[in-house]
Amino acid sequence: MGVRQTALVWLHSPWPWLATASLAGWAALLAAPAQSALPAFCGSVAELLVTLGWRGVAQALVLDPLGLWQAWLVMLLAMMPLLLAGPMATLWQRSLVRLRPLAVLSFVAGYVLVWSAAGIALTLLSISLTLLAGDSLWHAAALGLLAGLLWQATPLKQKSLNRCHASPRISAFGWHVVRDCLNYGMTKGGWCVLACWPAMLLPMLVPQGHLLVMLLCSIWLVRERLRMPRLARWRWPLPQRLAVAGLPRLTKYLSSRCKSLASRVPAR
Amino acid sequence: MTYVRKDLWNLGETWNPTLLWYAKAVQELQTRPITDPTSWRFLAAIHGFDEDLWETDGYYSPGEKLPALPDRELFWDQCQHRTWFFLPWHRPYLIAFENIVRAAVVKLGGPADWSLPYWDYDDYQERPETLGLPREFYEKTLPDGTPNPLALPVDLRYGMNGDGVITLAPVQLDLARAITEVQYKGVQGGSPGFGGPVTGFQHGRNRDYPFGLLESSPHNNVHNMVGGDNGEPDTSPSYHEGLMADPRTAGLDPVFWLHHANIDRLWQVWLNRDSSHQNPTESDFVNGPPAGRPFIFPDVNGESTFWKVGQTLDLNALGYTYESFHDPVPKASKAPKEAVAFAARPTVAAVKEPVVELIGANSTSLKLQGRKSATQVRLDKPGVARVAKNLSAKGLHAASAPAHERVFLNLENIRARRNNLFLEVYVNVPDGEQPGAHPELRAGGVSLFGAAAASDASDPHGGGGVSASLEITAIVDALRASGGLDLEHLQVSLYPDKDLGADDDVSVGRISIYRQGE
Repeated sequence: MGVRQTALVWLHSPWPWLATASLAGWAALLAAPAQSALPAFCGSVAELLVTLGWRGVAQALVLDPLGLWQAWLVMLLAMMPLLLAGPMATLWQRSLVRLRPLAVLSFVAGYVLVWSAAGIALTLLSISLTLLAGDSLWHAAALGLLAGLLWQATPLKQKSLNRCHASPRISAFGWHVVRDCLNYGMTKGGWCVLACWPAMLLPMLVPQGHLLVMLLCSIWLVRERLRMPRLARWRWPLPQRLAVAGLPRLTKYLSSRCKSLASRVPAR
Repeated sequence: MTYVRKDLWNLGETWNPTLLWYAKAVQELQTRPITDPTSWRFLAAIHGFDEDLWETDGYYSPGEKLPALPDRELFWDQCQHRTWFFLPWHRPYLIAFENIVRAAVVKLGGPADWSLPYWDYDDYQERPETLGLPREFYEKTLPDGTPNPLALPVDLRYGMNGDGVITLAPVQLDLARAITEVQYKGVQGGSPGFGGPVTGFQHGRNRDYPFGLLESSPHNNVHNMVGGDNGEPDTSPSYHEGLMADPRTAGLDPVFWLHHANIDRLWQVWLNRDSSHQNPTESDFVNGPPAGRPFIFPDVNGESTFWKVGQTLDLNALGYTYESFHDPVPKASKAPKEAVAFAARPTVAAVKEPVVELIGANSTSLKLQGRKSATQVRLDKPGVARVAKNLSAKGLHAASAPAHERVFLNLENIRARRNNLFLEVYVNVPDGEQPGAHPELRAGGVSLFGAAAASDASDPHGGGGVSASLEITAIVDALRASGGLDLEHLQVSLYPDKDLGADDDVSVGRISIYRQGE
């Protein structure tokens, strides 16, 4: 397959569109005016607390819930699209050509609905952790990190990740398309929330460098999503263990690729 | 030295050296602990492992020491199914196994050129005995009086009739669909290809890719016909399948390796058949598998060997060959019609990436009951009209006719607790008539090998089930030509080879129709 053909195949995949959506989210975050709730909220509830105080946070929640929701959506737009390549390909492939946009929109609506509800829960959780941490805002981030790592180790985390790959039945005709795709988006969103919430919580807790933490969490999420499904069981939450154990073999692998195949035939 | 894999039914009298040394080597490998990468069980677990199933079948004792988790996650549960890596993963797996068995044979005093035999069941028209297994697979003991590891008790190898006697059904050995397919790689919804759909490392990924054509038949069918089950409803706690019927246990049956040697041979038969039959050359294939899990197998010393697909493609370089590459499907064969009419010649679209689009689907998931389940598939008029127009133009050999127009019936998200089920699929069988009276309406057959694990939501597979894609171009074209093509509906009927009761749990998430063209 030539370069042109490869490029065409790639362009016909969901990746360019999802990457564009994600970049739009990041651009909105970077370009948002400093006086809006967007950078403060997306980056850090902790920072919101510092700049506005508790009264300010309460006012923001009561007086500008739409602004906060908008900020949350931008955060989702930046972090989540690259996790949706599988569902997008499924929706595209399993829908009538003329109904593909409807299927995608219905799915996204369901997905955003669930994540919006999760946003409320995560906001309350981040405020609780900040209160619990007391004076030092970094303590709240440390608490969030600890909670995230604990969750990463549980079987439910892996189960959620495995279920994120599930593709349900999608009707082809009529309002059933909207129903099934909405349901698909909500189900997918639910498993996605369970699998990804620590990566959304952590940027909300750090008092500084929240965009950098968001970016690192996004990379972590994509890496995790592309990894093979694994048995749901208690696991060491960080990848080092496997990497260390596999290092000698991987080193050998790299050197073995330079040898001829004849060297693989056992001595006779 | 080039090793020659020989035909199982040409090996000579009972307890010929090839099978006798195979049996002795299996005995030797079975004495090794499961933590030894050259042991019988470790090698089988590379294909698939399940603690509960292995314990039930007597291959694992609770509390027994297993390899460390990182080793298990690197080596075990690797088997590639429903992917274009199906063939290039099983090939080095077989080579690793054969090398280890050969080393054991040599250690026991056997011939240094020992090679794995292959079971050529598709030659049944010339040699009906190839539908079964030789006596070595039934004798309780070897000539020296020790237990014969090639023979298994009935509850580990039931066969089609549940009596432990292996007799394959010719109807499930169809090779024509696979061997006449031009394209190696498949596309989702459209042709599944000779070798399977384009995927990444595919052990339990949840997107329900369809079986490749060779994998579907005869590969899957033979697995189930050998493994079989005990005849209980699949929701019964006592329901049990033979080793070969489940990918998580299949490698424990010595027949598995002979079966896969034949599948490996058929890959070369397909390549030899026609110059248009070519392996993919894309980097994603040749340099596959992509980042993630590698193809890794132990060598005779238990050390790791890693493989890329590109290293598996040339038999000469690999140092082995087969006694025969006999192609049992006549080149002048007109069956299946659709394969000849629309697939068996290279076309522009066969080279370009084809357009695949949905043109119809049924309205609800279908739970299979009894001996027949039927559903109406609603068609999208513009899509079907386009298919009819293109097929008509082809029929008239019009200058404007597209070079390529194919229609596929998809069974999506087939979920089941059992693997051992064969579904015959027909289109528009008239009410009250038997499907056997209408071979022209037969879309094909599907075995559910692998469905049980793929349907278990608690498994890493996530519960998506399996899928199959069957070509129905000839059926649709015949309906069009006779004026019988209803632009709004098709009636699809599924005929299981078992009488499914209310307690059985088999369903098809969606039955859909796709067109593949330009």
